[in-house]
Amino acid sequence: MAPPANDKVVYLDAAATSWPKPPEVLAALTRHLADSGGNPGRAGHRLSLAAGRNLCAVREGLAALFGLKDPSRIAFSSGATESLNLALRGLLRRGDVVVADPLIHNASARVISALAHEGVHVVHAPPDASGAFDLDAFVAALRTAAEQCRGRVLGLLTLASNVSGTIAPLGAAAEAAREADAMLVVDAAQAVGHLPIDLAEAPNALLAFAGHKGLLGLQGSGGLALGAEIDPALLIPLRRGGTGSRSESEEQPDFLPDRFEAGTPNPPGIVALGAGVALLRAASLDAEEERGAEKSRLLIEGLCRIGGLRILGPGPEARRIGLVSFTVEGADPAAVALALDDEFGVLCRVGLHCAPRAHRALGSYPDGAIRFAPGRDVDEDALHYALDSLAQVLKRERSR
Amino acid sequence: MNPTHPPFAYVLFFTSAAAFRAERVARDAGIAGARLVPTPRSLSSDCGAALRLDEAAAEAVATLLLNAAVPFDRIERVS
Ligand SMILES: Cc1ncc(COP(=O)(O)O)c(C=O)c1O
Repeated sequence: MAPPANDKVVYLDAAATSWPKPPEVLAALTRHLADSGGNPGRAGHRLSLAAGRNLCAVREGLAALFGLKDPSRIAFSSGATESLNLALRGLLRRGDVVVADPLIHNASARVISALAHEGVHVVHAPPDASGAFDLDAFVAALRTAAEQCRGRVLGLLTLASNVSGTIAPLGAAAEAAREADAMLVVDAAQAVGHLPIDLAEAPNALLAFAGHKGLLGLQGSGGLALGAEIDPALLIPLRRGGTGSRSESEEQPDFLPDRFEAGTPNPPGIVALGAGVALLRAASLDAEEERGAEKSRLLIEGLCRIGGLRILGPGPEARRIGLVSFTVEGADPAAVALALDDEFGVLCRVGLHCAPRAHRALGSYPDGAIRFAPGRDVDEDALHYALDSLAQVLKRERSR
Repeated sequence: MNPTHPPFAYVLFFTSAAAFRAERVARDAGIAGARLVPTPRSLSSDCGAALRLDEAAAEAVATLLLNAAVPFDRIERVS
């Protein structure tokens, strides 16, 4: 099969960052920089006000995306990593317990490891037999924690895994946390933009998201969404500094979103992700999820046909974003990826994907796996081309 | 472009995030001349923006903001 004529590459690394950015995002970014380039919330002149209005619109769009009534419950940040640091560090103290799902990324795993050195108890709930999130085990671990711990109990959930692509049940996990009188920190880095997320069914959740992946914006953008029941006073800010409000005071404001937004924000990044949000809401998140699921089914089917590959996680019946990882027998995955890039223009990611614990749960540690995470523009033909390219590379590598 | 004239009312906010929402709510409701301006020094030592209105519109805007759950500090009249 010939490479797709309109594209030089088949981009299968959208889980790392989205590419190419949609024209709507680039246009919004250019418009913002040209017409609204002031510092928002810091002055009353027209360029500052224009920037502030743009941020306001994005906050409102995100609130609507997550089913939140109050847009001030969206705090912007530099990405999912910072938001997870804020949520976990902001809530957990010596003697508290955090119950983590088995598919955590280092963006949360390294934070709770550090907290463990500071006297926080870390419990890792086991996966199910396929390596996916196991609700029963999560519920049981939360229950035990609630019985044994005199401090605060927190659940930690990876909504969509960056290794297996599987989607965890947000509402059920939030309910499990509620029964343990716990809040739920949600790593939604791989979920936002790919599926509907409704914090009305998880009002006790704090949802960390990145702007540059499913939301189609720029690196260095993202935020933390606070469910309606989360008391912001419980969450200690990571950073303190100027907010443009209460300037007479040297204390950090306690109101939202200023409590968590010290320092100059990232308006270009915020505007870009806002354009992505508008585009995705117009397209419908249900439709986005179906498109992703369709791609994963096609990939799993194609990979099974090639043979000698092991798909990580459950089979095609599981709820997945458009992301499938697999291990290869009889060839070095790094060599396979290099050949795919050099000879076929197929771009993917190999290794541990910053998630060693998830690879352990999925039985692919320490060797890692090859991950195919097709971008939004990668169509069925391009996926067939990628599968075909992989088959050719494997045939040659295995005959070496 | 700006039919507003004194006497003015100023809606003061804790956070600029609320100020921008308030401006949109007021404009969506057709409150002519509602405009974000630097907060007058006499009202606040802050560097933030305030929503300036025709004094006559103050009552209506207060109701709009309460209904839209946009938090504000207070409304000041300045002649
Ligand atoms: C599951 C998961 N969590 C968190 C992150 C971190 O996101 P960011 O690098 O934007 O902070 C990633 C990104 O790779 C991820 O896949």
